[in-house]
Amino acid sequence: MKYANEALFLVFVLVLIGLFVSSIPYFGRRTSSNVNNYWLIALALNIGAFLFFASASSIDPVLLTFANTFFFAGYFFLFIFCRALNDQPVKKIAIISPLLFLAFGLVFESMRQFGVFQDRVLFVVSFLILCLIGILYELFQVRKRERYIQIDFLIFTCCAEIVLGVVRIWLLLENTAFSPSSIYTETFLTTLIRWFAVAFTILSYISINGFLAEKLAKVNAANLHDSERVTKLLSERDLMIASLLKANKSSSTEALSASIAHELNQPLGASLLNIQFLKMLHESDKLEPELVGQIVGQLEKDAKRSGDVVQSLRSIFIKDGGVQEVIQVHEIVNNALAIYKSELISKNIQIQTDLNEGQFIFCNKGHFLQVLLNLINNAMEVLNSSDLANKLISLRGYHHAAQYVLEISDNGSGVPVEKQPHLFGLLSSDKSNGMGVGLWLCAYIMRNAGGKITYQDALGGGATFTLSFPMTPQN
Amino acid sequence: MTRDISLHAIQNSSKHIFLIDDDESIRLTVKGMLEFLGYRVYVFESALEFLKISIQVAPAVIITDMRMPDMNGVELQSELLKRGRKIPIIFISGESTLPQTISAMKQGAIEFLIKPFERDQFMSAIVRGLEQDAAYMRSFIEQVALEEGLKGLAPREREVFELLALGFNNAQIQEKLQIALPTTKQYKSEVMRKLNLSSLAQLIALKNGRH
Repeated sequence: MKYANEALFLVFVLVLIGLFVSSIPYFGRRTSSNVNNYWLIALALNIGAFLFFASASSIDPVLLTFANTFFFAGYFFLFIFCRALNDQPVKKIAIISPLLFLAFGLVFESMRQFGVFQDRVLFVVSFLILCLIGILYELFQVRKRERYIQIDFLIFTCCAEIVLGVVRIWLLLENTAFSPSSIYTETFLTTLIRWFAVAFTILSYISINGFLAEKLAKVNAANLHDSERVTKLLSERDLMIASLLKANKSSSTEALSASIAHELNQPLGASLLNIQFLKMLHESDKLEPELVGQIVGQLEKDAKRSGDVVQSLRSIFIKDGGVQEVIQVHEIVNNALAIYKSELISKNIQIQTDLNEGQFIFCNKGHFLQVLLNLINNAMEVLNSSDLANKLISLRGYHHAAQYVLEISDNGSGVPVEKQPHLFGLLSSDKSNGMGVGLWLCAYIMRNAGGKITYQDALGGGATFTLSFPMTPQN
Repeated sequence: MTRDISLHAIQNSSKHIFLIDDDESIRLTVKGMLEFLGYRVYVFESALEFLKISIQVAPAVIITDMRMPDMNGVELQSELLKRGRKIPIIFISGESTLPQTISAMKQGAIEFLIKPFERDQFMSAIVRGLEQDAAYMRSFIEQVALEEGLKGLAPREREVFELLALGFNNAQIQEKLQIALPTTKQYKSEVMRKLNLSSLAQLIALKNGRH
């Protein structure tokens, strides 16, 4: 039985190491939670203490000082851990604790040199019991808030350790006849009690491990729930944006319908007349080749023109998956202007474009057209309500740094300074008929395309909206 | 109207149509067809361009688009009314709002056609417009003749004319003007002769035509 104590200490070391290693993946990486780190420190200190206990008899008795100091330190950090569980500030205690341990070690060392075993045990166990009382106090606080079976068990083990500690001291002090020189030579009974106390210590660690694992599982479950909720919210948001895109489409459609009807009815009206003209000629046998040729030529031209109008509208109504493509800027700008042609004419608004053929961007065609239609529509509304003699909308495209920039300006009244910060916000419209989604959608579309939209006052009054696109495709 | 176009063409050669539309297709098509039918067609790209000329011909009708740059159809109509020459107007429009249509019709438009429209509708509107203008011109000329004739009447004859126009008979005129019956009859025949009228009904119609 000579090395029974040492062997048992080593067994406990192995158990604790197993606990420590198995805990690292759970807690060690979660740097956000210092609480768990205190527990790991306590566990490590305890492993160290048991290692010293196991080796002190064969290497050097001075290691006993380290063993007891580490043992105490382990309990102390367990106390810090429990305190941290209650969200109490512990950082300061943790920082100054090494001084306490140093003092503890020095006192113990002097007692080892000059004192007797019973005094040392009394000294150590008193400190341990103080720690345990602290731990119990904190655990009861935890218990008030949440009920965990592990916490209840921990309270039980702590109580048991206190009881065993007291009994051990009482036995040691009672039995003055036999005075052991160290823990390795204690009587069987006190040794047994000590081992039970140590076993309870290990049980506490295991129950804390269980407690933390369950807490982690709860947090994970909550996270899972949260992430489900967030996912749901995100998909709801996407749906909302999609319906806003659609709503904006149909509201601009409403505004466009007059223009579209006009644009389509011009060639259709001419064609109908021409066809009836041909019919008339045919019925009266006056089909002169020259005249017929003229009429047919006119018919062809008008048919093509109707086709062009429909073509330019197609990209607004076409169902798209938001796929990015290479877009010729001047082509889409011309589409947008063609759609508003008769509105622009009837509102007496001039258009000035400064775009080069061959300038291209990466964007979704329908989305880009929507941005243009929104901005041109806004400019038209502003200009229509002004008394200016020369109402003008100008579009200017150029390359700047690694970006393509398209400026859309009008010489209207511009945006008041106080409105500018929220210009691109949702539902921030001051238009009586607007939903306040137009500019927000523009900004959303531009962000999605990896670009942005900004506002500044135009030189000499009016508004300038600047669209900037990256020169490489975004995913 | 379709069978013998050439005959119509000759009849139509003194009828004038002013076409105002900013759309080239419509201008070319309408002009081509109406000219083929023999009308004199004058085309204008905008209302302002049209307002630069003064119209000295009749019968005439204006065909105008509603939605045009600078000045729209209704504005043109108002401007023409202000200037006093009442030429019948036919509106053709690719699209129109109800208020526009209402004000156009209130200001006396002949027809308001939405493109695409039927040729027959269009033609009948033109024919009606030209008839209205011809009637207007006739009554205008009669009025001018009446004004001239009235200037040639003596003061007493003028008084008799006014009473006749109000439907007074000889006895009532005699009573009203305190003159002898033969004198009344003489004034009356002088009035009829000077104004080149053959019946009282004509006189009343002529007089009322002024309003």
